[in-house]
Amino acid sequence: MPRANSPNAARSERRPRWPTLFLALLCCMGTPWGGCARENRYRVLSFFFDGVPDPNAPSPIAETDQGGWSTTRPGGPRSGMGSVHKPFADNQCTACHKESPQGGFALSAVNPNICLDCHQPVMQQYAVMHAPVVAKACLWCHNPHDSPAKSLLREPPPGICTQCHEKGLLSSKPPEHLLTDSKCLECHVAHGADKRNLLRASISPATPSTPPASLPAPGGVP
Amino acid sequence: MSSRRLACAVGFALGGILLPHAASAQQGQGPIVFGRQDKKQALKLENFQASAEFKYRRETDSLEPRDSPKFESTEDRFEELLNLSSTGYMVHPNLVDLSLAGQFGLAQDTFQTGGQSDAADETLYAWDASATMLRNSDTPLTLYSRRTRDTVNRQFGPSLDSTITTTGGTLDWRSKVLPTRIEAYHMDQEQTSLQATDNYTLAQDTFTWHSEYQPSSRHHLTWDYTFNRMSQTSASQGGQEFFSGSAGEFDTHDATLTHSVDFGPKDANTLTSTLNYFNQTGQLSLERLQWMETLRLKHTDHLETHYLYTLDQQSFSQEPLGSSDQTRQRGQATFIHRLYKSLITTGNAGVQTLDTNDGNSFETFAGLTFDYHKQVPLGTLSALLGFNYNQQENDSRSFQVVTASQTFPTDAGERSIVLVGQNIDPNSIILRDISGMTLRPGHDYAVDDTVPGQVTITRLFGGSIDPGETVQLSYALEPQAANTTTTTGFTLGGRYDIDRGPFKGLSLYSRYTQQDQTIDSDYPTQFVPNSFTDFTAGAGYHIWDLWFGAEMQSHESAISPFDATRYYARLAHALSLNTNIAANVAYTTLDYPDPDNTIDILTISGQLQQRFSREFYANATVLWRDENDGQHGTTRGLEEQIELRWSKRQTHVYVQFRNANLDTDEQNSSFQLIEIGIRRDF
Repeated sequence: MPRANSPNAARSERRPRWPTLFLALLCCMGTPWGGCARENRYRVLSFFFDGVPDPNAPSPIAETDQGGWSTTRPGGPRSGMGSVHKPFADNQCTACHKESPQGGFALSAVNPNICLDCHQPVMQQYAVMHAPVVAKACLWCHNPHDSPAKSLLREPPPGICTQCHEKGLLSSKPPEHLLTDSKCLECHVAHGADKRNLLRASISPATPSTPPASLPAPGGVP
Repeated sequence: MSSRRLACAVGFALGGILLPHAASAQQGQGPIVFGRQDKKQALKLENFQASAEFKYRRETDSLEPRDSPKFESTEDRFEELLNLSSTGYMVHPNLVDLSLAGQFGLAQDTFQTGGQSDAADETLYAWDASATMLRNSDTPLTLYSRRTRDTVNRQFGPSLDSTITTTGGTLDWRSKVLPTRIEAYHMDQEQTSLQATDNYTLAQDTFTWHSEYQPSSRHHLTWDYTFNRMSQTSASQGGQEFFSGSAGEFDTHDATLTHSVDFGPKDANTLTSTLNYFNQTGQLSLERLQWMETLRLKHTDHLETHYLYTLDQQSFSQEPLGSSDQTRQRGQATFIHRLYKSLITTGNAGVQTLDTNDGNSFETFAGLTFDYHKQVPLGTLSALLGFNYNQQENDSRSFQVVTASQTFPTDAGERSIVLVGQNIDPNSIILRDISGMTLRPGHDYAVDDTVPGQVTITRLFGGSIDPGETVQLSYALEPQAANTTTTTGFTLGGRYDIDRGPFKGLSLYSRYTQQDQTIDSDYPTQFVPNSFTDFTAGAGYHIWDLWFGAEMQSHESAISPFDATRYYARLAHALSLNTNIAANVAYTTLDYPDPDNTIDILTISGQLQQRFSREFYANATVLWRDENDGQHGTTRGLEEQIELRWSKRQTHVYVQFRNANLDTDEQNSSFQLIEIGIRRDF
C-alpha cells in the first residue's frame, strides 16, 4: 500500500507546512523591515512612494532660503561660495551665538558688539571712518555666515552702496557715478580712509577721470 | 531700506560729531559730504515731457428687439489733447518730492440717435499729481489726485467711457515697533454708454488703517480697519434708474485684529487668533462679529494637527424680506500626514451649532482623504480617495437668510451658478461684487427657478460680471419643517500623466463621486434628498504647442440629472520672435432629462500678435460664442478687435477697431468702435 494512502501519513505530510509557511511569511515581512536589510526596505517602499530617503545617499550639505540668507550647515563652505566667515567654517557657533534653552542657538543672543570682539581694530583703523562702521552696523553690508560676494558682502557693489547712497543724489563728477555698474570700491574704501570721501590713496579728487565709453563726451557729439 | 537710511543718517550724525575731530585733527578738513549739494530752490521741476494728440472716434450701437423697430445711435468725436508731465521737488526731494502729469483738451461730439442729430463741445482734462513729503523720514506723507479717462469693453456688449477721479492721501509711520499706514481718499466714478443703458455713477469715501506690532520674533499683531461710504446710481434698460432714493447708499465698517504666536521646538507651532467686526448699513444691512482661533501643531516633519474654533454672530436685514439673527459656533480638528513625497492623508472631524431667531441646528461632520502621487514608468500616477459624513439636526424655521461667496465659471462652457435646495426664495436673491456694489438683475444676471429643487443664476452678456468673477450672494430660505439630514459620500479618482515614451503628452483621468442623503421629517414631501452619483472620465493630449482634450460626465441625481460631453483644443505658439498666435476651441453639450432640454455651447477664440518692425505692432483678437438652449433659445456672440500701433521717433499713431454682435431670440444688438489717433512728443 502506498504510504500516501494512509490518513496518518497524509496528516504527517501536511503538518510541517504551517510552520514553514509562517516562517516564510515572517521572513518576507521581516526582510524589508529588518535592520540588516535597509536596502530591501528602501526598495520596497520606493516602489509605492516617492521621496523615500536613500540609505546610501550622501547627506545634504547646504540649503539656502528664499531670502538669500544662508542656512548652510556650519563646518564647511559650499563649493563656489564667494566668502565664508571663518568661525562659521570652523564650526565655532558659540563664538557668536549663545545656546538657547530649547536647544539650538538663539539669534537674540547676538548683539552688534559681537563683531568687535574680533574686529575691534577696524573702529580706529582710518582717520576718516565710514559712518555705519562707527555705528557698529556691520550687518548692513555683511552677511555673518557666508556670501556669494567677496568679503561676506550682502551683495556686490554698487548695490551694497546704493542701498544708502542713492544714485540720483550723487554728483555727476566723476561720471562713473552715473553708471549703473559702477565699481565703487575701485576709488573708495568701504570702512574708511585717510582722505575725504573715503577715497583711496591712489585717487586724487582734483583729477577728473576719463569719461566712460558709454557716456557722451562732454560738450560734444557722441 | 528706508529704516536703514534713517539709521544711516543717525550714523552720519554720530560720525558728524565724532569724526570731524579726528579728521580735522589729521587734515583740518570739513565734514564728510556724500553726493552733490545743489543750490536749494523753492521749487524745481525737471524731466519735462510734452505731447500733442489728435484723436477721432466713431461709435455705433444698435439694438433691434424682435417685433420692434431698430434703434441706432452714432457718435462722431474729435479730440485735441495736450499732455504735459514733469517731476521735481520743493527745496529738496527729501522735503517734498513731486510727480505731475496733466492732460488738457477739447472735444467736439456729434450724435445721431433715432434719426435726430445733436452736437456738443466739451472740455477734457485729466491729471495725475502726487507729492511725497519727507520721503526718507519716519512719517512720509503722500498726497495725490488723479483723474483718468478710459474705455471699458464689455464682452459682446458696448464700449463704455469710464472716468475715475481719486483724491486722497497716505501717511506711513515707519516705526520699528508699530509700522502703520493710513490712507483716506474720495473717488468718483462715472461710466456712460452711448445709449445710456449702462450709465453708472459711484461716489466712494474710504479710510483704511493698517498697523503691525511685533513685541518679539514670535508674537505678531496685525490691525486692519476699512471704512467705506458708497453711493451708486445706475440705469437699466430704458434709461430708468435701477437704484432709487437711498437704495444705492450704504456704509461699511470692517475691522480685523489678528494675533499669532509661535511656540514649541523651533517655533514650529502657531496659535492664531482673529477677531473681525463688519457692519454694513443700507437696504441690505449686515452686522457680523467673527472670532476665530486656529491652533497648528507640528508634531513631526510629517504630521501636523490643526484645531479650529469659530464664533460667528450675524444680524442680517434685507428689505422687504425682514431680518434674521444667527449665532454659529464651529469646532474642528484636522490632521495632515505626509508619507514621503507621495501620500498626503487628511482627516477632520467637528461639530457646528447654529442658533437663529426661531430655530436651531446641530451638525456633526467628519472626512478622510488620501491624496497619492507617484512617479511610475513613463509618467506620474495620481489617485484620490475621500470619504465624508455629515449629519444635521434642524429645528423648524420660518425664515433664514444665507450669504455666501460664489464664483462664475470661466469663459468656455456654462456661465451659471446653481443653488440646490427645495426652499430657496428666488425673488430674494441679491448679488454684489466683491466691493459690495449691488449687481443688477436682468442686466448683469438672470435668475431661473423653473427646475424644481434648484435655482440657476446666469451671467448675462453685456453686463458687468466677468467670466470667472466671484460675487457675494444672499438669499432667503422659505419656512422649513424640522428634519434630520444625514449625508454620506465618497470620491475615488485617478489620473495618469505620461511624459515619456511614444505616448508622451497623454493624460487619462476619471473620477467617481457618490453621495447618499436621507432626510427624516414629519413632512417628508417638503424635502428632496440631494443624492447623486457623478462619474467623469476624460483624456488630454499635449504635443508641440497644442492641447486637446475630451471629457464625458454623467450626473445621476434626484434633483437635476444631466449628461455632459466636453471637447477642447488649445494652441499657444510663437511662430517667430515677432509673431505669436493663440487659439481656443471648446464645445460642450449638456443633456437634461428632467425637464428634457439640450444645451450646446461652442466657443472659439483666437489672437494674433505681430511685430512687423521696431516701429509697427499689430494685435488682432476674435471671439465667437454660439449657445443653443432648447428652453431659452439661441444666443450668438461675435467680437473682433484689431489694434495697430506705429511709432517713429517722437510720432505715435494708433488705430483701434472693435465690432461686437450679440443675437438672441429677444433682440439683436451690435456695437462698433473705431478710434484713430496720432501723438507727437516734444
